[in-house]
Amino acid sequence: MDEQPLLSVRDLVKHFRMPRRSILRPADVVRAVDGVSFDIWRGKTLGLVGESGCGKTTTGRTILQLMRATSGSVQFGGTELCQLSDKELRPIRSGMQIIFQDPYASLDPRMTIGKAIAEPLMIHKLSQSRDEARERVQELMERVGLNPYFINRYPHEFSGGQRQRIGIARALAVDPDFVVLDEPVSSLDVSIQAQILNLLQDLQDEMELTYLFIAHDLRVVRHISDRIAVMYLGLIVELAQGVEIYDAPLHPYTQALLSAVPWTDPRLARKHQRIILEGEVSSAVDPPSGCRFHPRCPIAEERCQVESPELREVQPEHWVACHLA
Amino acid sequence: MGTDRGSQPESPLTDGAEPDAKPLLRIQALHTQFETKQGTVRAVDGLSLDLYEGEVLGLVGESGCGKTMTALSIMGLLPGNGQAVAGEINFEGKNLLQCSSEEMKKIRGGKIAMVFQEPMTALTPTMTIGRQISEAMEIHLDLSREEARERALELLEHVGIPSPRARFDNYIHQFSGGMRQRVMIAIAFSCQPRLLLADEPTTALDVTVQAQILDLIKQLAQEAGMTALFITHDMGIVAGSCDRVAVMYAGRMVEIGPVDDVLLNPRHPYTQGLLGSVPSLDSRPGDRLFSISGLPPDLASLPTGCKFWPRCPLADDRCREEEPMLEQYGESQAACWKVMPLHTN
Repeated sequence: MDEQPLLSVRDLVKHFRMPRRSILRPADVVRAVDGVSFDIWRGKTLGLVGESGCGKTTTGRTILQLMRATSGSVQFGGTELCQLSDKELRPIRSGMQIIFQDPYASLDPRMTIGKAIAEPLMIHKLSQSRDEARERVQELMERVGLNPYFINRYPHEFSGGQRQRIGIARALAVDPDFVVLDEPVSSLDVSIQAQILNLLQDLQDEMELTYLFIAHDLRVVRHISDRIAVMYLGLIVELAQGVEIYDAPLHPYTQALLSAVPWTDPRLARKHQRIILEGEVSSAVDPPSGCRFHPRCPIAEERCQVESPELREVQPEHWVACHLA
Repeated sequence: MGTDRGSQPESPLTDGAEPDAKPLLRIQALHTQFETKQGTVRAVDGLSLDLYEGEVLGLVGESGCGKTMTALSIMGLLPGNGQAVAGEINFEGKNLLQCSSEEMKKIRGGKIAMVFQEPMTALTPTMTIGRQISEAMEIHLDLSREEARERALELLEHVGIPSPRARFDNYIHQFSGGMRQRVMIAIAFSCQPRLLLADEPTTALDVTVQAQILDLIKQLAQEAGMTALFITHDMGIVAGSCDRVAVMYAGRMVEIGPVDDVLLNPRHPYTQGLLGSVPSLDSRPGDRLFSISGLPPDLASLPTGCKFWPRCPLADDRCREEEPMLEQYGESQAACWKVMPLHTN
C-alpha cells in the first residue's frame, strides 16, 4: 500500500454547541467526533462501525463537507477540503457522493424519479441537453437494475429496495470517485439487502469506486469491507483488515461488539460466550476521563481512568487504542 | 443429524418442547383478511401452528408475509378493516376468535402479553412508567395500589433499570431506546403471562443492547416457565434464542422444525434464500451473497400453485399449478414439490 490514499483524514474534530440552558452556565458541547484519523485507498472499502451516537454518521458528513469540521484535515485526491470555501468546493463535490439509509426520506415525493436522477447532472452541468440527460438517466437506471420504462413514475410507486436503487443511481449520476454509504441497507428486508449489497459490489468493481461504508450490522460490514474501523464515543478504538478484526479483535469493546453479532449458525450461537457490556454508552457532552470506554470495560485498570490511550500499531496494519492490548 | 434436545445445557430453553406435549396455543387454518380498494388482502391464508408449553418459537419471513398479522389475530388487535374470517385459535380450552371483547381484554396483558418493536408507540406518553406498570397489575392481578407499586419497583429492578425508585415517576421520553424496551418487557411480564408474543423486540436497537434485551427475555421466560413466540426477520436471532422456527411466506407456513435442523439443513428454497442473504462468518469478504430475486407477491392477487414460484430458481410446471402441502422430512416439515428426501437421516 505505498500508493497515495484517495482520502486521508487526520485528527478530524466536530463539536456541536447545544443551546444554552442558563445564562449562568456555558453552553454544553457535544464532542461528536473528537480526533479521528484514517486513510482509504482507491477502489477499496473502509467499514465504519459502532453504536448509535458514536459519531460515525457525523464523520461521514464532515468528510463530505456537508458539515464543516471544528478542526483537523480531510485530503481528497491531494486537495485539502477543510480550508476551501463553499464556492471552491463546488467542482470537487461531484467527485464525492452520499447514499442515505432512508430512501423514503431522501427523495422528493413530488419529483419523478427521472428528474431526481437527472438533478445532479444539471447542477454539475454534466449534460449538454435534456435529451442527453434523459439518455444518461435511462442508462443509469438500467445499470442499477431499474426498468427505464418507469422513468416518469414517482418515488411512492416503488418498494424500499427499488427506492434505494434510485438513490444509488442518483449518487452515481455524476460519476464520483468516492461514495459515503450511510447505513444503506439497514431499513431493508434481508433478501433485498443481499440484492443491494451485490449491486454495490458490482458497481465498485466496474467503476473503481471507493467506499466509506457506515453501518451497525457487523455481518454486513464484514462482508463488504476491506478494512474496518470501530468507533466509540467520537474516537476510533480499533482499525485493521476486516477478516483480522473478526478473527482476533484486540480492543475489549470490539470483542464485546463481535460477541453480540447474531450469526445464523446455531452452533456458533451456542459456542460463542457473549460479553455483555454493563450500562449504556456515556454522554458525548461529558465523556469519561482517560479511556472513554473504561466505565463499561470488563478489564479496566486504574491507569485507564486517567490516561487516554493512543491509537497505536500493535501488529502490522492493526491499530488499537487500549493500554492493555 | 441427531439433535439430542434434552441434553443441551447451553440452550436452556430447549427442554419443554416434547413432541407429544400438549400445545398451549393451537392455531388451526387461520385466515385473516383485509378488505381494501384493491380487493381482499389475504394477510394470513390458512395457517396452522402449535405452540408447546415452555418453548420459544421463532416466526420468520420478509415484511408483509403475515407474521405480525398472526400475532395480532391471536391478541384480537387487528386494525379496523382486518378480520380473522375463518379458523380457530385455541388457548387454554377457549377459541380466542369466539371470545367477546370483554373476555379478550382480560386475556390481553393477563394470560397473553405482547412486546412490540417500537415502545414509543406502544406506551402512553402522558402517564408515568410506574403508573403504566402498576395499572396493569391492579386490573389483572387485583392488587391494591400500594402492592402494585411495590411489585412494579421490583420488576423495574429485575429488568435492569438503574435506580428504579427515581425512575418510577419518569415518562417514557426520558428513557433511551434500550431502557424503553426494558420498561415494555416489565409491563409484559408484570401479570405473569403464560404466553409472550414478541414482535421484532430488538430491531430498533444497537447490537450490544439487542444482546442484553434478548438475554433478558430468555432469562425471564425461563424463570417463569413461559411460552414465547418470537417474530423476527433475522435468522441470527432465531439461531441464538429459539427452540423451533417457522418460516412464513405469503400468509402460510412453508417450513417448520427444530432450529438446528432448519438452519443447518433448510429444505425450502425460500428458507435457503433467507439464510443465504445474511453474510455468515464462513463467507469470504467480497463473495456474492445468494439473494432471492424479485419481491414478495401482492397479497390481493396471489399466484396459482406454490406462492413462491415466481421467485423460485427450481420452479417447474407442477409448482405453477398445484400448491404443495407441508410434508415431513426428518425432524422438520416443508411445503415444496422440489424437496428431495436426501438430506434426511
